[in-house]
Amino acid sequence: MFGYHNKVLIIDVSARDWQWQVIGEDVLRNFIGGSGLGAYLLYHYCPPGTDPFSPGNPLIFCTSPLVGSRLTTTSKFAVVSKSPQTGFVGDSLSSSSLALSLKGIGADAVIVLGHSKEWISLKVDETGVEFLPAGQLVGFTTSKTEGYLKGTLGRNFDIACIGPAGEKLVRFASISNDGGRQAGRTGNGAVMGSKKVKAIAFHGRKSVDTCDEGSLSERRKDLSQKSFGHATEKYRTLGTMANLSVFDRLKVLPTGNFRNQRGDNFKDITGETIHSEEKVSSSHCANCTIGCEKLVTVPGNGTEKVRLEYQSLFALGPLVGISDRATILKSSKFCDEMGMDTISAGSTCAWFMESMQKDLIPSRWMNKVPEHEDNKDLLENLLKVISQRSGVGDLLAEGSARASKEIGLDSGDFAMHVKGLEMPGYEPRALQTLALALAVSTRGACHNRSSAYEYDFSSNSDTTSGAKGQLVKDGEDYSAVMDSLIWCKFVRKVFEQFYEESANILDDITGWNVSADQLRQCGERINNIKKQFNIREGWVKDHDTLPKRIFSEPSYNGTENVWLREDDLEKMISSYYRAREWTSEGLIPESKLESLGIAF
Amino acid sequence: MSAEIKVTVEFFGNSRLITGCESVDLAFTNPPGANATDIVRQLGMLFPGLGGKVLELNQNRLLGSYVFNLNGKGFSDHRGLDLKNGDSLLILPSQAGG
Repeated sequence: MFGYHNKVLIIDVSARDWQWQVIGEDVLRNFIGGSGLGAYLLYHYCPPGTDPFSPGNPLIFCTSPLVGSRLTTTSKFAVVSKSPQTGFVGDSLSSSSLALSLKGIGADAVIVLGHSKEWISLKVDETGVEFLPAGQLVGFTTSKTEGYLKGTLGRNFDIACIGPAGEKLVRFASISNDGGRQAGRTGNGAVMGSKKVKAIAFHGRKSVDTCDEGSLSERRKDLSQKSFGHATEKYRTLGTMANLSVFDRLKVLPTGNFRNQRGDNFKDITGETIHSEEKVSSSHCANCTIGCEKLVTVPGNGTEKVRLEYQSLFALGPLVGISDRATILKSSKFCDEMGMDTISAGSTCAWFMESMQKDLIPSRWMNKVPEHEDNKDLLENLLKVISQRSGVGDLLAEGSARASKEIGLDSGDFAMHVKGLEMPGYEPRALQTLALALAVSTRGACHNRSSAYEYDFSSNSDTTSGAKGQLVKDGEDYSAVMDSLIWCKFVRKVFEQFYEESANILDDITGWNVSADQLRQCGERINNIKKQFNIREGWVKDHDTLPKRIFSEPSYNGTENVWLREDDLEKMISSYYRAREWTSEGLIPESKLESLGIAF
Repeated sequence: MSAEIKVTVEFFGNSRLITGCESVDLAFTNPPGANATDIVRQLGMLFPGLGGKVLELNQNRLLGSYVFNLNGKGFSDHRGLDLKNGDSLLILPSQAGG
């Protein structure tokens, strides 16, 4: 078989056993790889009703047919489990050399099951798995863990690891790889921590055959050439940091826990200013020609650098009412080292700060708030106690959804999450196609699984609620294909005909003679199996909504208030269900499951 | 009788780095008034470095990876821009992701 190994490696850390299993070509054709293959495996390996922290929750690492092809931006992998934040499908992507080593062991996916009694690391290569004691690594930061394992096992190993936050089961803990890249969202680091697996070291050189290397080589050159052009200019120049000044100007930058949409004092933290005033270097993932990563020196930490992204800049800055560049840089670096998702960490702190201002925090928790002089100090101290689950950090490590339930007193009205996953840095009252996507996304408040903001930022967006349902459906299916092949989202504008060009590349690799329409249907299938997993795990229509604040308070566009009414969102959700050919309650008819081949 | 209109062009991202400024005020005589072609032509003369990076000078338009936004509200492509005195025209990267 071309493009794949046709195998899954299953590791049981309870029994300290492992086995290779064949995976059928039909599964690979239907779910491709990455996030799609992960969703399929999750559906089948996670028993219904499994607690995310129980041994039965599989932690799945997936490669894809494009990994190893040397096509630009394709050194990516997906991590999938039942999310401890949402209780639904949890998937996150990360990049670089680890993807190559993961595929190099000779598997298309690795599934980790069970619970270890003691802390262990897994050494995984072409011959199988070694279970190594890792008690000495407990408490290590992510960079120290990676450095230690590379030092002891060899530089040729690539390390996926958790930091102290994952060890302590902080629900939004991330998995770190390749020097600080993060599979950040949905809490896969906490699932890894629940298994007492501190790290997984991958090394392998097993390659797969390509069906038509000559044709692929031409497409590889063409794509690389195009990726140097203006379609990726933004990412190459300032990286995603460029968003901050634009969003501030357009009044779509959530600030002060989504109470405002811009600020008067963010000049010091715009991408343009940071680029001009700080030592910024560019970096890139393995096999990437774009190089969106911007490494910024962390104040007071010698030459240490942080990989600064817009979402971290937003969540640890404007969202918590902070415009001090040094605090943001230090906090972002701290989250990476502790292994915590910056969006959820910042958003949970923003909710807590507002609750404190409103005097809603009961004394049993207020007594445990770390001493602080100002908001900057408070943020840094809250992040510290969250990562340790000490004091009030034990409450906040649960995330804003659970913490607000514990506090009550209507504090849930401004806990800015969907299904338990905190919201990214886009203002949904102004960006209403995105608002719909956030509400219906299977993994909670996620901007990356639909790219729906693209429509809100374009000049030809149909603004009717009926049109938005189809737009979000199309965006989700497109994103599912991107996340399964796996392409980096930042290369998307390089394609003129995404499905056609991707189908041709998949043909070159696999020889499947797949059409653009078949690829499009893969995207639909993947989104449906994710939804079907959620339905199995207790999803009901009420889960598809937004925080109350979004409906009860308007945003302001500079001249007038902008409202998103709950019944308007309802209409959009109905249009989305219709576009998906689901029932009015958002359930998938049996006939739809059968037509997609997922009536399991 | 012609009257002068003033339009402020605001730069973001790469265009701000190239021009070294956050905005520039441009003046036009009305009629014929100002449209996207007029704007791009004037910007090209003021900031030749924008050529090939942000502006497609031989076509008098933005490169495909940039988009106009009028007064921080509506997005617009090359066509359909009819600028009035006091308008702010933002030049933004069209890739919103991140």
